[in-house]
Amino acid sequence: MGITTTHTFEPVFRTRYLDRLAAFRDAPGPAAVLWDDVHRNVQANLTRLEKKVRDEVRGVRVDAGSTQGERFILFSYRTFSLPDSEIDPVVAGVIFTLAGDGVKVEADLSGEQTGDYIASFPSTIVENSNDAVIEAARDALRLLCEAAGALAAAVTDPARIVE
Amino acid sequence: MIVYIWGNLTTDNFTPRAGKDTVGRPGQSPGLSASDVLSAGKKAQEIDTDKLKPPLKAIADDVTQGGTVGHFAIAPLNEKGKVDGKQLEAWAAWRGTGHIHEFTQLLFDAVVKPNVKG
Repeated sequence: MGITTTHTFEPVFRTRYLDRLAAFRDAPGPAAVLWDDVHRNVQANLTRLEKKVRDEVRGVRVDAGSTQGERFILFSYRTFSLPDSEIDPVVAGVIFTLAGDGVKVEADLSGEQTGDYIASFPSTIVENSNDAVIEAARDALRLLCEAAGALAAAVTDPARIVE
Repeated sequence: MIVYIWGNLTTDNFTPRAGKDTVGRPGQSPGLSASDVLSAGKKAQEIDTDKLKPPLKAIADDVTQGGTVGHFAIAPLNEKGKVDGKQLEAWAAWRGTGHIHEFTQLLFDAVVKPNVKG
């Protein structure tokens, strides 16, 4: 009979990078929608907005992100700010929430901390399919891109300085 | 109880600012600011404080000590029920990193109405 050696190791808990897993953990949204796809689509469209703003505001800082919670499926956004400035950053984002059997899609440009609206657009409710959600997001983002000038003005507006 | 965090559902807006939110003032505990009122015409996130999971708690200002009526500070508490300064500072250190601290996620999960307008 051979000798069996068993090695056991205590689990090592690490929290670093767990947020990457948390981004779409237990998403409350319809399973028919691939939220990773939706986020990628939103960000691809926000790249066009970013380019327009960069053409107008030299040195603008842009950060991409996404969040989710129990009552919202996905908020995919980019934050525009001036480095070393107290002016409230402007957030361009699309939020997806449940609305009955469908998904509500809403986009706006607004202050990160103050919540002042730079531009907002009517929300739409679409069926819970991947294509419908992505198409609604594209429509919303088209409107956001058209407001690039307003975003550029707001991100440099000293009247929007926060404490 | 319902309170509002003014502004957007971004990671940074739901993470305390080091050196600002980590410092208390007369009548006001350190922590991420929230209010029981909306700001007219502006966006906010509606939070049900009953949905806040430990160690987070919303602490109302003490107006008799110079705090502001309707202002709350959301902060982690220690086992003695006091604001845990070390945990609060550790949380604030995540702001601007692009990563989501576990307390930030607890706050996102306590949002009951996203994007309400005052």
